[in-house]
Amino acid sequence: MTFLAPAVLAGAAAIAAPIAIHLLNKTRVKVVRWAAMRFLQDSVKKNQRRLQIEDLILLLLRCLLIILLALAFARFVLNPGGALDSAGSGPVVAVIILDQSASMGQSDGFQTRFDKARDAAAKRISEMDAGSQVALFLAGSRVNQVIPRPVTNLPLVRRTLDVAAPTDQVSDMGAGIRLALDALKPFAGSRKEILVFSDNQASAWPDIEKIQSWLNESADVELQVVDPGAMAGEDNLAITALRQESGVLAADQLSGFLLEVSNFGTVPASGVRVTLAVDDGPPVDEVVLENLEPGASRTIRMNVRFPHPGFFTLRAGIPADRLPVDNERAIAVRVIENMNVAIVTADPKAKSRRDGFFLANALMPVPVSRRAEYFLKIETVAPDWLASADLSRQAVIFLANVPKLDATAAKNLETYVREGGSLVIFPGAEVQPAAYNEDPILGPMLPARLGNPTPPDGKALAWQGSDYPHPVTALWNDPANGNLGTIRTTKHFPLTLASTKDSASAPRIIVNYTDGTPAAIETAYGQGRVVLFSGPASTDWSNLPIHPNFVPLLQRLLGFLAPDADSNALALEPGGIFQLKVSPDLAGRELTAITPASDGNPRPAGKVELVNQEAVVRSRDTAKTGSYRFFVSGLEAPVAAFAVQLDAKESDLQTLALEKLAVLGSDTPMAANDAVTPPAPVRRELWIFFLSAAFVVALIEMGLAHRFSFSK
Amino acid sequence: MAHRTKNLLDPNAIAKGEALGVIARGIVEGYRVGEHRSPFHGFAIEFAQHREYTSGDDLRHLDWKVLGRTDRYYIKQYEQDTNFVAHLVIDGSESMKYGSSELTKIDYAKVLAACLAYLVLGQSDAISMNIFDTTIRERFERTDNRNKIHEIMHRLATFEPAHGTDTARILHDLAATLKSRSIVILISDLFDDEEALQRSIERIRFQGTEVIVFHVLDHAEIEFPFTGTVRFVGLEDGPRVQTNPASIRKSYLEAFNAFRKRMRALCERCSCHYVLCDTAQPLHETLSEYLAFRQNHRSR
Repeated sequence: MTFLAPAVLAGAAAIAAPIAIHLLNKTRVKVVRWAAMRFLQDSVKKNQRRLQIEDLILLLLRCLLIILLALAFARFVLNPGGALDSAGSGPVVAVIILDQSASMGQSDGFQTRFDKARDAAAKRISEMDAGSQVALFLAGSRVNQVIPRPVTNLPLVRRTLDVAAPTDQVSDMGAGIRLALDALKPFAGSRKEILVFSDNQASAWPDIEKIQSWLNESADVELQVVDPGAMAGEDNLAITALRQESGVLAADQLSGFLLEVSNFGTVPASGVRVTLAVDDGPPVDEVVLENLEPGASRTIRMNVRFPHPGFFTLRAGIPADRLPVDNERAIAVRVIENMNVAIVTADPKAKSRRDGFFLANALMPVPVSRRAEYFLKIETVAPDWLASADLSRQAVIFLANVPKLDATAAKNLETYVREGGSLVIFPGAEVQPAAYNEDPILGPMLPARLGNPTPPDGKALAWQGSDYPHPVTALWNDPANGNLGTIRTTKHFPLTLASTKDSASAPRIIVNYTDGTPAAIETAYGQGRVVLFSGPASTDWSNLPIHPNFVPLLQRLLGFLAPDADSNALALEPGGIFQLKVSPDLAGRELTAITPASDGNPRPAGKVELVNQEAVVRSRDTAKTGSYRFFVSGLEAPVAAFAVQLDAKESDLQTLALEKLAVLGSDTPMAANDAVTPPAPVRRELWIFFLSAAFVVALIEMGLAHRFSFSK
Repeated sequence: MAHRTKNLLDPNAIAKGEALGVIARGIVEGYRVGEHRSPFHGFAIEFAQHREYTSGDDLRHLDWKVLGRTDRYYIKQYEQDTNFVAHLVIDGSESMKYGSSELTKIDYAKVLAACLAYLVLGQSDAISMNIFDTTIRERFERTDNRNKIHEIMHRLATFEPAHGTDTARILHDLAATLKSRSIVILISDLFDDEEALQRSIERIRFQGTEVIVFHVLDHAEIEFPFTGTVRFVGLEDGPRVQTNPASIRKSYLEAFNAFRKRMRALCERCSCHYVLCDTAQPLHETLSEYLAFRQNHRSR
């Protein structure tokens, strides 16, 4: 037992009042000089004991009355660890938090979790006593405060509940509870509750301790978590990832995509047909997974050949199950026609110089006979080419063991990078660190200072084997894709990170050596990027050029650096804002869009906006997962596309252990359906009882006082 | 009449002899208006016959009316030669000082005694007066001289109670001095030893003397209307009692009414007239009621 308003208990000190009045009455005496003392004495003697007992009874009743009132207003609670029995406990000020995340779309074949939660919330509202006030928050990745402040208009809350629908977002109950506590703050002295209707997915409660500390600070607020009926062992098969394998997607080239299928159920999945389709077309590739164990994930490679450059969307699908939202996953890609790459070496004519050789072959991993058709056009040039050529045509320029650049070349190269070009530097034996570090133009562009090359001491230094922090190397965080840890070097330039004031241009490590020193670093410079490796792209100092992952590493590096080939900007989370620069000619043109909500039919989607003198396609209507394509009249191909992807966490329907939720104070999760969860002990507020008892005692006191006042 | 009487019973006036006389005369004269027979006639001697006046006869017995009509001197002769003596015995103990209003019991007793003195002297009977507490404090010897009325009033008016009471002993002593054909009029609250009182009255009655008891009580003593916490302090060196009177009122009234009943019964046993005098009731009403009762009683 406990008190919800313990401060009011101090009011019990008012018990001193009747005692004081009692004593005061004894001292407030009227004196009468009296003749008939004989009769008076007899009467007093006869009645004295009775009078004393009557006085004592009245005094005790008055003290009891004050104690009962203090207990009532201090809100005495019996069985505080139990679930709240709100019905009949008087008006309450409550905030209902309804989980709106994608996992709430899980269906039992008749109702979704969201439907059950909504019904449970409506039932709870209907049980509330008159005078109760309710606010309604819908918790997704952002908390939608549809009724931000508690209102007494409960029918309005119910109507708002009726029109609420689940989203494809993740949920964070912590944010909802924080806002609910803020909303309840002004209601001092009222019974305050936060009612959470959620499937209690583990990922929705990321920081229980923090929530617990908030609740401890707001001791007068009760948290109650109502489970709409999530059942253990619910099966769910999901596509948890869809990404492009190669860095750059080009027209008429076979492009690889990686799909990850996960089994979150408790039984193995077999014969799972996985398909990949482009835009609205039929599947272009198909794989059948023979067996997928519970809790396991399988990555599948599927290929697509894009017929022409432009925006495409791909949809991966698996057979329908009870959580439809993760049975399909989309990705949007931009396919380019070709890409120019320049490899600058000290002597491009010398065949023996292999710095450019390995690079060229790794960038163009096709037979010589097909190189003419390949989208990548490689030009191997001498450093003086930089001084005279039009560098803006190049997507990426590689400096392979270039000893130094003259001022003109360096100036051109700086201009190129600043305006959006990409520069990759592989320093080799010919390079003097000072020639780069001290160069007034080249030096400031570098993400790190080159140290003197370490002497070959016979010990090989390896690249890190896991925990890759950069998008270029993130692919190898999955061991299934190989391991960069087998790349070893016997000599390299130690890299010291350049200091910068601008966090946007802060150097980022692509990969480290096992001793923690950087092996490759990149930084933003102007609108372009500069990547610096710690050694050459030859076999002089390391096995990097002949390592199996050298080709994919370079391909991913190309994909990362090539501005038009970056598909990362085309992937959004639900509710995100899409924004993409398009051709300036399109500014002001009417847009139509094919979205997951438009059933394949184009719908008006505003205009191409002009932002900072650049034409931009912008969309905020991104609540649903799936592919979004934007068209302008007169053009058949989409001018922009993106995909909204479900957070893979939502597919994991594992619920949080009840004991973990129980630490949130006095409440334990309650089931909306009593048949699902055994009944929890009911927590009772006894203020009505104490108030009633006080009323009865007051009546008894008045009655007795009246009766005692009759002369005897 | 009532209004006039109420005004007459001004305690300040009662404290002055002349004023007390005026008050008593006012009440008594008021009573006499419209009356044809004095209620105390029976106390006087019975008229027998006339005889010729001879030298040495008391001129007070000369029948002036006969002289006026016939120019002859006749003396009125009576069957008995003696007048009744009314002995006013007034309780002057401290308990008589109680009064829930400005009018105390002793004030009331003084006016009552004054009225009776007027009545008795007014019909040429004799009167004596004793004011007592534990002993006789004021004694006024027997007289039938009307001129003495002023002195009686003065004695009454100036008396102030200061001691306890011993009514029985006073009556007992009085009985020893009584002669026949007298009336003892006791004016008291009778807060005394009841058995002793009974014995004393019985003794007086045994001598053939009529006794009239005017039981003077304050209205608060009869009704006990107090509320709140009250500390009662005894007037005759009694103890102090602090109580909530409302809660014992019933018990008190039972005891007090029983006392009144006992006093009435005592008087009835002794063939005395018992007259309850509530100080809240106008004196003329109480007096006229009793005198009317007495007149009727005699006429039967």
